[in-house]
Amino acid sequence: MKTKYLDLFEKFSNGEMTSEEVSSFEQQLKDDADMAAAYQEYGQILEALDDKETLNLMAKLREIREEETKKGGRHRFLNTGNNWVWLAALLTIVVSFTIIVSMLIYNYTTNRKNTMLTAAAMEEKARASLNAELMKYGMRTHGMTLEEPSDSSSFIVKGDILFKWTVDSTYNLLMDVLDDEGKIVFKSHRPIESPFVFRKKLKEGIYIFRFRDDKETFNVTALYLI
Amino acid sequence: MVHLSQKIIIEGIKRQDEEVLKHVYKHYFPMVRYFILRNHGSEEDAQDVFQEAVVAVFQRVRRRRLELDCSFKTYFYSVVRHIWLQYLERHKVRYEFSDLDEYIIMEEPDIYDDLKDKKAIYQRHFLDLTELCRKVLLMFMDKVPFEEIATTLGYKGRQYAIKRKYECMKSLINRVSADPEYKKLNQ
Repeated sequence: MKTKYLDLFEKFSNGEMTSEEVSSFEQQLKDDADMAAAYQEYGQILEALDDKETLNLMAKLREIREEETKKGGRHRFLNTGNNWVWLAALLTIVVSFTIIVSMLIYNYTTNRKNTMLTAAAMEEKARASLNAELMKYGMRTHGMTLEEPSDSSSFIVKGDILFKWTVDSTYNLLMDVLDDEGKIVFKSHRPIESPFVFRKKLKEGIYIFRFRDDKETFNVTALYLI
Repeated sequence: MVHLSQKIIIEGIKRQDEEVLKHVYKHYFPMVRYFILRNHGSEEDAQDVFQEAVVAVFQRVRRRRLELDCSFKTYFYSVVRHIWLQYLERHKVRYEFSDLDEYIIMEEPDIYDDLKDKKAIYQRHFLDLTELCRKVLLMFMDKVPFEEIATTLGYKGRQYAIKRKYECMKSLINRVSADPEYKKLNQ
């Protein structure tokens, strides 16, 4: 249905046309079949709107339908054709999801345990390496006194480290610095003499300063460098 | 489950008694739904056909007294079947019709013609308009002066009420024109 004549139809049905306009409108309806057909349908629409009883019934039926749809939604879901299949599919998905999540949790827990065991094992290995490195040379129980850094000074050291010691003979002392895994991170290569300033920058951590000759360890001192 | 006699149902539909209408929906919609789904229709089609069937029965009993020599269920089934057959024919659906075994068919339940089809479309789309649009148009149909329409609905004045009526009418026509069923009827 066309709306191109709606202005005219509305003006006419609202009773807003002058008598001349009404005459002209009626003449147009006679001359223009397209407009006449549109006007006929316009009249049918108004007629349909005038049937308030039917409109009222339709509105009531809509309300009942909405109300019953709301009430019966759940019941109908289970009784409708393929909905059992959908429900079964949904259950399968939920169960599968639960299984997968359980497996992930189990794997995570197991991995975590394994990681912890591995860390412990690595720590053990590091300690063993450090011990092995320290055991390379026999420990000399006397003959050297480390004055700086003394026992009373801080275990935590920042910046250059001054070492002072006395030794009862003219041994050619070398210095090794080991990390906490027994790896040598510094070697003096040449004999050192007291006082000796250690200037090498190392990353934060515990280091073992070892004074030795080619046969024996004279002193071992652990310091935490920051 | 409450059983209502044929007479009570017919009278109830005529009076638009809500309890009777609910009873009809509860008792007969499952049958309509089953029939439509079995015959190439959808859930939505079943809802529409059910409503059209009740309206058709209402219009029939409003015109003249309806005396049935079969059960209301059989009559209603025939109305539904008739509406759905017309729909399938309009849409040129090639079908093998599958009736529900337990019903005897009344071939011509005397309820329908083309114009009524369009009327149902106009009315259906009218109900889809906004509440204000429905009010404006219904008040106009009740010959309420535009000044009063404006006052009742809180419009600025008569001219605004006229403008609103025009817009609502245009919206209704546009909705109707876009309706696939309406297009089929105009082919």
